[in-house]
Amino acid sequence: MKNKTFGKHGVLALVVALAVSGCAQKPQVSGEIIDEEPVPPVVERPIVVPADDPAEDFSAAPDPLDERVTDGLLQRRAVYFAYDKSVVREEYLPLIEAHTGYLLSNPDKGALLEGNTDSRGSTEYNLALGQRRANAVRDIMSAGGVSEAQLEALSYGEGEPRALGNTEAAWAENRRVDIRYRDE
Amino acid sequence: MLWRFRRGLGFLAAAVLVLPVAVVPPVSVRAADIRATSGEWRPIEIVVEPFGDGGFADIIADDLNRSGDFRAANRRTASFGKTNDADYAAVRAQGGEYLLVGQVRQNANGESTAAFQLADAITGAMLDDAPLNITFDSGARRLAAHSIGNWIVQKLSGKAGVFHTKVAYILHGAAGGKKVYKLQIADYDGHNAQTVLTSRARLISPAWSPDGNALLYVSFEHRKPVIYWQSLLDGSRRVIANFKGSNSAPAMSPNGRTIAAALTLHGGDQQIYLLDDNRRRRARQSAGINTEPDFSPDGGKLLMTSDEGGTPQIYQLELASGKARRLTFGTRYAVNARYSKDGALMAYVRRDDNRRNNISLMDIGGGAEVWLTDGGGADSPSFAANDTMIMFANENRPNRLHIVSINGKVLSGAGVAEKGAVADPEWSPISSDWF
Repeated sequence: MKNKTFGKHGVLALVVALAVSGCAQKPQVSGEIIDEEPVPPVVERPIVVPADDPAEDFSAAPDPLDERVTDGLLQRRAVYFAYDKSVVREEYLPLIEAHTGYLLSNPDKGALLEGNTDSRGSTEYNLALGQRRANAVRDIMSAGGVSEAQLEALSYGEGEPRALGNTEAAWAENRRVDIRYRDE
Repeated sequence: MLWRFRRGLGFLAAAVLVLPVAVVPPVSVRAADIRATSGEWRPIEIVVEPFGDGGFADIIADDLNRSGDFRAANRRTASFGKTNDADYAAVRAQGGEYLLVGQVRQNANGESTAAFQLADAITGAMLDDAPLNITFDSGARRLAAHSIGNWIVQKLSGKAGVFHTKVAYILHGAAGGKKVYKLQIADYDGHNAQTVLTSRARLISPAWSPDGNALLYVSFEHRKPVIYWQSLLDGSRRVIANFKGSNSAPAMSPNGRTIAAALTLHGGDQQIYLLDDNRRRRARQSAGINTEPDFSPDGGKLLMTSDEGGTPQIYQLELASGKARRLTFGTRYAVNARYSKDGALMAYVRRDDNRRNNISLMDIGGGAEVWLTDGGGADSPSFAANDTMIMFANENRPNRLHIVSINGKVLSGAGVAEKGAVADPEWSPISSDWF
């Protein structure tokens, strides 16, 4: 079961190994191949970082969070909410699932879930509401299997508005949870 | 009778020595903006003579007008300066029931003395046989005038005056293009602001200790909300709550022994806990957000905001039984409730039918309530120590303190000297060891 600790590249290794074995052999040996097959070198490289070779540093591997690499859901970091609501709308589930998948594949990564509210109403209730919005995103990720240690839900309430002014557009922009990775 | 006032009782010196405090010099602010509503209202009518010192009588008249119990006109009558043979017919012609005559004189030692006397304009009789005197140094001029206002309130309405009391608030300012948060204390009318704490990190939710000698507040200096206590006598401070998660919404019990606060100890919604010296206990078991606790004057109950029913509403929690009763209905947003000092009323922020936040005043026992504001944007009400007025913030006019009389008749603004937005104003108790 050590494969489980390999993260994204370990999973890829299994997929590759199974695919190869599927081509070469019939099903009766597949289980043994999982246990016995060493991780193929091509995917092992990023996991076992050679200390004596900086060029092989993990960061050299393409990171799907990097917008130069992909332009998919992982580049979207904001989950927006309706007024005074903390229910995650269905349209944001694919985005949250994409980040869930990334965190599952990168157990060394951690994410901050930063809850925000618009400026109307009480400072303290908004602090609590921002927290609940952040918790709502966190709970979806936790349910998806992300470990508690990788997630931190916190609230800025109405204190860190991205959009200024008392307009509907500004308020809507500020009712938001930002997904921010700890090393960014 | 003689009163003697000097400003700066210990706090200024202590603050400068102990804290990195920038003491803001008194800066004159815009003239008071006081608006009385029309309609049925029988205030005590009083004419205030000019006192021969520009602005001195204005301070007294503004105080009286803000209270909602008086209508004070500061104007010169034909009798100016003649205490004993005032032209009461002229005063009555202005609607005056009472006349305050007075004079400020410079003394040889640089101090000043205000002599004053209150007359019944209907009968022409003086309420006291001889003029009263207040001697003050230049820094205590406003305090001397406020004291005359207090004396009149006591004399004519029987209530304790509160014009010498303070307000604590957070000023959201900027310096060098970056946000700066200041915990400030000012006279209730915005003058004489003093900075207790300056922070690049956000500050919220100041709350007075019942003796007026300390403040609780929440600072984000450690990147998350942590509750601090800070002495106003020597500037010392200590952490009250820095538990896992969020620590906010502090309130101190009337006996000063318990602090109620909203914590997220278990990673869920904010819940109210009671913190004693060695104990931490949850005030109530319920779903949803529970925050913004405020102790009743007898210490046995809390007002709080809870959204266990789906929308934030005000509940009253009996601490002994743990039973909570919902107090607000008919709105989808009711937050930030405060007890009156006698415990009979509460003021809170209620969303009206036009989706605007205004201050509502409720008789807790009977449930009847009235709107105190109608312009929207209102936030963070707190009562004056004699329950005659309520202070609040308004995001539509953020650079000032806002005051409404408890009868809803007088709405006034009190500008603060520094640029920035005023948030979370908290009216002080009636006295402390430093003011």
